[in-house]
Amino acid sequence: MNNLEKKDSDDWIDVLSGKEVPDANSETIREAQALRMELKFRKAQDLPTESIQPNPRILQNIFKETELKPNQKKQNNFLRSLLAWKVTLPLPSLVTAMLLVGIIPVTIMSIKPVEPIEPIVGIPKSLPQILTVPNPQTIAGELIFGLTKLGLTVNIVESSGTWIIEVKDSSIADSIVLETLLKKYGLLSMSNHLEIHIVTK
Amino acid sequence: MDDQSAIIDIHAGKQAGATYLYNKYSGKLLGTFKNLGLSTENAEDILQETFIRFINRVKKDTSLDNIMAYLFTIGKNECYRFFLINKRFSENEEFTSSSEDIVVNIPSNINIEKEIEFLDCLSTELARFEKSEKNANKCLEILTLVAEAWSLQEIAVKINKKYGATREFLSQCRKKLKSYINHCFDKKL
Repeated sequence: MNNLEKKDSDDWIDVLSGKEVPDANSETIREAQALRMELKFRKAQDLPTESIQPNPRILQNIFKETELKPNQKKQNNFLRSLLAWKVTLPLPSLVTAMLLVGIIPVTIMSIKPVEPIEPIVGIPKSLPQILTVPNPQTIAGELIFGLTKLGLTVNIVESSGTWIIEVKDSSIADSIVLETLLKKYGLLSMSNHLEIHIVTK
Repeated sequence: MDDQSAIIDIHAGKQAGATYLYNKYSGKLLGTFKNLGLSTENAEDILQETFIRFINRVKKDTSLDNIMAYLFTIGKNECYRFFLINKRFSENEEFTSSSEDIVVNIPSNINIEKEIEFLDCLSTELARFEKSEKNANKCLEILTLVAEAWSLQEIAVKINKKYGATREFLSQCRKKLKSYINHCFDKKL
């Protein structure tokens, strides 16, 4: 190995180990630096990672930047079948279908409603709902993930440690699944407009 | 939902697929970024950019074999981009550098996209090197120690070899590796 080769080899080792070598060959720097990045990233990937809940606003920013739209609730299968039937079948069948469409709602309306279940104690039946927890950011993250999974558009505001989650129209979500999700946090699905304030205990 | 149906959902412009992949991979990605020494704020910025680039790619093309590997490749490239930009700004004294020190040598006329393409090429070739070369694992183990700022003396003691032999082994590793990555230098943007 001549002197030039030895210097290049030393420079390569130095750059790979994170030292500054201003007079190193530019290709040597590129090679050693990219290799350093690759090896450090591999190591970082293999190391155990602490359990971190990313800031819930990141997902909302991603949606905004990529213009992804909330998923729409699937159309009711019964209605879809009925519509298909209407389009493909001749007039007598169409009349039957229209009668069914007329009769069913009247029948449903005539049924006496079941007495509502007692609401969860302590939660007011007006907006907004307050949730007091030791870790508002984590709970906000969980709630936002749950709500966006249901295809809902969620607005988030964080101010002095209080997380405000707002859903302007929850009607597109499956009401039973939504109710179950909210119940998990002692919240109620009172109307199509949801506003939840999450504050520190 | 699974990874593939999430990709189809994203391709259709819907949020549910992205939410699924985000919930599944964001914690591990964020942890990896933090293991590189990044602050929470910078790691979260890189996480956001990683998913934006990933989704924009999936919106155009759904042909991905390994979604997790692809996400981590984008994540790694975003980290490199961050280090290069951070260093460039710190040299111009417009940005205060932190302890995030992957990149210390940076030519003034650097083309960041070209460097990222170079890293991509090097990564692919390193994987090929690992599969093809007999001593690849040993080489990578020692190269990783160098990247972690172990001195050659310390490495020699660790692998129970003499200083000269360790240096020669490193030199041979580089030579072999170079034969794989040589073409990466010629790539044009």
